[in-house]
Amino acid sequence: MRRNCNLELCLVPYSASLPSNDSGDDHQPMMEERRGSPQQNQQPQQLTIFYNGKICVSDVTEFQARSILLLATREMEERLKTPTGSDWLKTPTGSDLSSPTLQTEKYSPSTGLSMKRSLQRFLQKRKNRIQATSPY
Amino acid sequence: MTDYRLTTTTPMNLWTSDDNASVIESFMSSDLQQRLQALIEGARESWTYAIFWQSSYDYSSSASVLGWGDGYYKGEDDKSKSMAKNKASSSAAEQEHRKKVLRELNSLISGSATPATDDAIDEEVTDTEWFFLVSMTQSFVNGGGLPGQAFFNSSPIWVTGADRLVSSPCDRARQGQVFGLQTMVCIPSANGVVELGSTEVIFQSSDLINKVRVLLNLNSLEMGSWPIRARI
Repeated sequence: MRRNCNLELCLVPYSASLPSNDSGDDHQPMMEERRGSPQQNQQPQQLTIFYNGKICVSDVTEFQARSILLLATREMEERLKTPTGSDWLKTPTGSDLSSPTLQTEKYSPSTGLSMKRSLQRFLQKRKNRIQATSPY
Repeated sequence: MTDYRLTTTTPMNLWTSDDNASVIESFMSSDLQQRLQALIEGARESWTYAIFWQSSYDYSSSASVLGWGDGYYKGEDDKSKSMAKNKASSSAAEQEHRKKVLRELNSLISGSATPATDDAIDEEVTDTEWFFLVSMTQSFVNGGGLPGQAFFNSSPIWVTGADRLVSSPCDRARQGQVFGLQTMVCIPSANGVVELGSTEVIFQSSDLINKVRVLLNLNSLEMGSWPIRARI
């Protein structure tokens, strides 16, 4: 009979008392790994990932699990470093969107200005469109 | 605001003063915005958005960068929209996140809290709207990504079909497919790249590519004859 070892790997050292359906800004992935004996490290094991109120179960090898952890840790570190950056646009379902191009953005003043202007136009136009279809 | 017209009598010092950079910037941008809008609204095909990626050079990291320049979002026509809704693309949690972000952006832009009864905020944020918003934060370094490749090779890239997008080595192409796009096009110019995206399958047309080239080159024809020393 296999001995199940539940290993909770928290990525961020603050409070682990977050409800799993919290849809707030602190996305704290927690991973639970069920392993068999140590010799089975290279065999795919079932991995359960709790992330922002969603649960994902898949089979990964230990190497893959550690890679996922490393990527997620890097992403968390980036978020903590740039609180005024673009992390407000990082969608919870798009954890695979953390490509190098998204993480290493630095905004020149003119890019920031362009963004603001485009945002203004987009929001205004959206508002106009919605108000046009619902006159109440 | 003074109306700056680009005629042969435009004094040289206008273009060399850094103080005027923002004036020049807004002139150029309104012009670009109008062109992007004209392109999308006037096209035969149904494009969802047009984005202009502005090219620049970052001296501190010695990197050529394509960053957000401007964009025009049109959205899907009603038929595509109802088809997308049936697909049940985004969960309730995802919609909450998107609406929350939109609310925050609204107050950032307007400088005040959004009134609780603002209908625009309660409206569902579609996948393509979200993709367009997220795009504003993206950049492409040294030829990376679809826009980077097009710019680096000075040649248009046209990706037709969801399966082609999914299997693209470019993150942005795959990302676009996830949010409902079936066609993505990048057309480079001297100072940037025009990107077009659509939820429909649109096959390559040299007509459109030429239209975009004329659009962008008109811009540089007017500006290009003046040596611009100001860093815009």
